Amino acid sequence: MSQIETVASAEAQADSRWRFLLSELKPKGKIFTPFNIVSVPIIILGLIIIFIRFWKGLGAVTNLSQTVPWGLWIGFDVVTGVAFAGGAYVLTFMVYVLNLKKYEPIVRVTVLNGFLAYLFYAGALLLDLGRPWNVINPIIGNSFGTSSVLFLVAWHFMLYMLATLIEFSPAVAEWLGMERARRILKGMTIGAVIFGITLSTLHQSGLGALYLMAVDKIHPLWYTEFIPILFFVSSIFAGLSMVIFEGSITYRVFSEKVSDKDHKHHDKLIFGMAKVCAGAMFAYLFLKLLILVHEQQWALLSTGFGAWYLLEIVGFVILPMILFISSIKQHNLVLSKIAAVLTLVGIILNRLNITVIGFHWDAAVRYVPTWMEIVVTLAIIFIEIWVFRWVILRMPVLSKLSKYRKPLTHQINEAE
Amino acid sequence: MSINRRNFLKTLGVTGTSIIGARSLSASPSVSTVEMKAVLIDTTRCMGCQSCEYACAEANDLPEPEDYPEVDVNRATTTEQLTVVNGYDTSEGEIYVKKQCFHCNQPACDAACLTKAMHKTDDGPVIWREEKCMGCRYCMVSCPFEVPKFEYDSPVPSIRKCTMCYDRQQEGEIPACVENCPNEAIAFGTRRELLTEARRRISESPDQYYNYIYGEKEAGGTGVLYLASVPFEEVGFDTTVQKESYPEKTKGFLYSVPSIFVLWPMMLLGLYKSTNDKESEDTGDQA
Amino acid sequence: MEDFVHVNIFATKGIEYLVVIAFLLAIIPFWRYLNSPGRLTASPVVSSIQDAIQKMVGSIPKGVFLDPTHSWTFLEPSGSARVGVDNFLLAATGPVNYSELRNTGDKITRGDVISVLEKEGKQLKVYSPISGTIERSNRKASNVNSSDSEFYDQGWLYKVRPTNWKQEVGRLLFARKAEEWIKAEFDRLKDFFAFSTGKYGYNPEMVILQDGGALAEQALDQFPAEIWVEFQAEFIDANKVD
Repeated sequence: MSQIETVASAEAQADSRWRFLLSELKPKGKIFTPFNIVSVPIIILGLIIIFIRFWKGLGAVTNLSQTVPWGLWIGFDVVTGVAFAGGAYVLTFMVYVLNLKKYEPIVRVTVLNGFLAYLFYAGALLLDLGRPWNVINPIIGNSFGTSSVLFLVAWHFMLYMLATLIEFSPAVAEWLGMERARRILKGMTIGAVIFGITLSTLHQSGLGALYLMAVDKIHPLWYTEFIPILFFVSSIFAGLSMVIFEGSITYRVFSEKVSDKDHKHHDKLIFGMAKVCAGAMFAYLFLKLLILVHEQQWALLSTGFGAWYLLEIVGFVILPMILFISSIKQHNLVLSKIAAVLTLVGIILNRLNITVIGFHWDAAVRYVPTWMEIVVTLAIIFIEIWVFRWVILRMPVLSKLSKYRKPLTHQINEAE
Repeated sequence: MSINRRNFLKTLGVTGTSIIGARSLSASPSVSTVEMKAVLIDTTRCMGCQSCEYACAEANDLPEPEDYPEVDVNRATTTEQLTVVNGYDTSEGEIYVKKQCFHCNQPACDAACLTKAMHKTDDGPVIWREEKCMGCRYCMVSCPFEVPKFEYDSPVPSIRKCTMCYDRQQEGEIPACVENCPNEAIAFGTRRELLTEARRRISESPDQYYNYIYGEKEAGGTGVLYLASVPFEEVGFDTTVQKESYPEKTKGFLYSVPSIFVLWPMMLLGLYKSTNDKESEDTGDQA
Repeated sequence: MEDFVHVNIFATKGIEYLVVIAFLLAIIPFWRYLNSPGRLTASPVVSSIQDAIQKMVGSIPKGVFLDPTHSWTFLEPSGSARVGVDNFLLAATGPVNYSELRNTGDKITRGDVISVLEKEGKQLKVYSPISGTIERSNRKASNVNSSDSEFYDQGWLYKVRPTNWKQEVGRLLFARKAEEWIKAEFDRLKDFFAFSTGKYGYNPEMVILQDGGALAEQALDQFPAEIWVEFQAEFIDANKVD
């Protein structure tokens, strides 16, 4: 008899679902926050620049040239952004495959971040395409360029977005109160996770493999046949550092969404992730060393670019690794967060060194992005944060299931 | 098409049955049966007259060139100049060199293209197909000679490069630059014929030629071959270009992708099973 | 020869990707089939149930009292009593959700329905072993596995301030008696499956007798609601004593 009541109220819920959706679309909270005041003008400016880009062509807003066809939008937005989104596959691996349940509270927010990062940063790829209306060509199959690394990467982006969407979808179903859909989607999680990890392995490394044919153009200290492996390994600590960094902000900004207990728990998780980062970085360093030996380019270390290379390794891999280790030993959260930021800077350096800074390093005229390229990049990041905030404030992402279970138990109570 | 077949039959006739036997043995869909066309540029005969540049502009509906070759001024091909002639001051005096797409045997741009817009035809020319291209410019990133040029100032941009006058070839004509060269510095034929011809010239006049054919091995072999009287680095050629083809660089990665797709899910499923199956683990310990 | 005709070293990539897609589609049914219960001979089955009994019996700590309706209670030094569902029931159902029917401050009497175990719409009602006032409820109970060593520490449903402890506890089973009773219940469970599955046209071996381990556990999980109803009647309601 309680069941009947539940069903009846579920139907009523379905009727009001559209009204609920409309009400959820309305903004919540204060409008004039410092973040909004900074981000809104930049987003508007960015949209104007994007409009000019499609009206006048890429040359009107970017400094791209015949020798440097890929600039900030690919090197930072896509290549670096995707490395930062690596946290999603690492964490889903730890939680669902390795069954490390203690990381479960942060899986959802990380997967959400991963999905949005792919949506927006990989979406930035569309801005960079000269003939974006033909983007369907490699999808619908009238011209599959299967010999292309980019073909692989593009497909993986799309499929991975689908996988992360499935991984995240139970939260959406809970938000809409669709219990049945939630159960079905939940059952698909492990499949999506395994598929997603496989895709991530291949496209994280694939982003590096994109540059394999540019052997004569990339500085020899960064060009190696092993770029794909380096990209994959570094995406592990890049992604987790992003989780640490982004988590410490999210947990502060959306503090009221998180229980005290989860706050304490979160600190423990940071040390766990710091440990994984330190381990991956340790292996990464030796990979770097092996490759330096293999490529026999150590003579270049005494040049200006050599110093730049050493700065990247010592300042932004070794130093954060040591900071991660000492933060675990001293139980010092702040150190972990500093290390995470340094790691992220190091990843930006590394990716840009391959894609922009070390690309045609010997050219007389160097590529420097225009202010418009930078504004568009910032606008994309801000839009992503807006969407992220919208989702966080509505769906059960930071808070666990209990929030959603409440109404169900109330119904049963009433039935009794 | 007709010329291909005619040519093919001719080749068969010339080379005889032994070759046919060998072909049918190694017959596989990835190896074409058509001999690739190529161009031989003999810089010892080039006078820098720009006839090829004008002919190219006319054949491709492009504006006529406004500048001219000057010694030690490096003119690059552009979206409106698909071929340019540059002058070099060398130990053997002024030498003029025509530049355009190399039409590699295994082009990096073709391997890079995810829509097959950049396409190595079996006849030899590397062409660009407008209706397929999505303008990602990965071909430009990959090309070791930086040949493909992108129209940055157009909202509907094209990639422009020399196509070895593929359309003219389809109609049985030879490339415009070859046809209009007053000094026969440019020759057109199958790559096999032209390599033989280049070797013949070197061996007949060893004093006149530097003993090297640029393009025979570079980037896995190119469809444009060069002869010169001086070492090629003196006339603006990149002699550090690798001898293996550029798509070989991504071979390791691309060849391993299907294996990873098979191994990863299986391994992850196994791992998942072993960490999420407490019951069987526990009894396993007891047994 | 290669220098004169075009060779595409990636010519088979497209077909290879199709094979990969076929593999990814095939691995799902393959994995399901590989891990689905197969037919086994009788002997390992008996021993696996034996294992399960052994484990279950060994895991009842001192001071835990079992109610024949498969609930348990344990008096904490503080004076409040933990109340929960015993692991015989959970072993039969596998992981479940508890619908909390009682709030803090509610008064309950022995025999009242205190919770409903839910799994995919199938339900079992659980009765309270004691009377008293509910002090706390445990939201995390469903996270605790029946085979966890911390089952009696973490897997409780309520903390109850008992009002009639001494009297009521006399009706409950503990120590040796509890162990023997649990063993008997397992034998009964075996018969139950053999009988009731036959009645509804299921092959009993299919479910109870899984590969080797203590997989008699979760047997109930795979059956439809009508078997759950019978189970409720047979193992919970029929055991009710006042």
